[in-house]
Amino acid sequence: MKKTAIVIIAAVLLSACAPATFLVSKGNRAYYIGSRSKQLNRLLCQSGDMDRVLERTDFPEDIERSLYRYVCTDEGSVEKATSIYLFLTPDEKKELKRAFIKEGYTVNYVPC
Amino acid sequence: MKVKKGAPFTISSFLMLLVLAVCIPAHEAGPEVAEMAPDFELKDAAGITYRLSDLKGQTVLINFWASWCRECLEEMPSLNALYLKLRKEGIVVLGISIDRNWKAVRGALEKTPVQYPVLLDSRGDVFVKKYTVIGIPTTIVVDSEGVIREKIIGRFDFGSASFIDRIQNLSSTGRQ
Repeated sequence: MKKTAIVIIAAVLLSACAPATFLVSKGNRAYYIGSRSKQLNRLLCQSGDMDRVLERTDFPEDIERSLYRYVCTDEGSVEKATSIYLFLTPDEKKELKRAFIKEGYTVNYVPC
Repeated sequence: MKVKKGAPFTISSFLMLLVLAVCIPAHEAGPEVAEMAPDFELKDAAGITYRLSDLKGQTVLINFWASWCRECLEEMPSLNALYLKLRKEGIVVLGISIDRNWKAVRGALEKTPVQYPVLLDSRGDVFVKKYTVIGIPTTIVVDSEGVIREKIIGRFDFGSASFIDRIQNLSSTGRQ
């Protein structure tokens, strides 16, 4: 039953080609990066986790600033955060994933 | 496949992620079809500045790509062929690379040469801030009035007869 459900949902996802999505999960809860969820803000931003994630990376300052801006401020935006992730080079994407993992998160990026 | 008991990424969480991925909210996206294309200015490798607003009156295809994006490189020959075929009709193609430097761009263009102008958006000012692109490659068709007429996400065959017809119609309508 579970296998069938996975196959159906994956088929829908692949055939519909939804826009790329960038999700993080911790403690069995998943969030769109950049969403204005209060829980995500507490978990990722107020805790200082996002600062620590960015400290672990070696991104150009512009990218670091934009990531923080679209994830942890009033300008939070799922689309903008997804766009920044897409903008990262493959090496930068790996670096960001590693940094999130070190802070106890799982990162899932679903390209279109 | 072995699944450890108590592993954080369970089947149910996988399903939850898939459902979330399908249901991404559509708000806060970049400019949509029928909206004005945000103006921008970027430089090519020779330092020449290109402004979208300077191209008003012409049909412009803005193609976002990167040297590390295989699908981008695969579609570029057909985009280049379209440019060579229609440039005399006033159709402009602007390739916008999101690489970090010209070295990477030049490396890609040596293998996949194109004749249309290639600009560099290494800070994401256009890609993220103005157009909020969420798929690569993405091509945006802007009409002579500066309005977005098509948004193509993913690899595309620019040589298809129906696409060439659409672009030619758009261009001839703009000239009337």
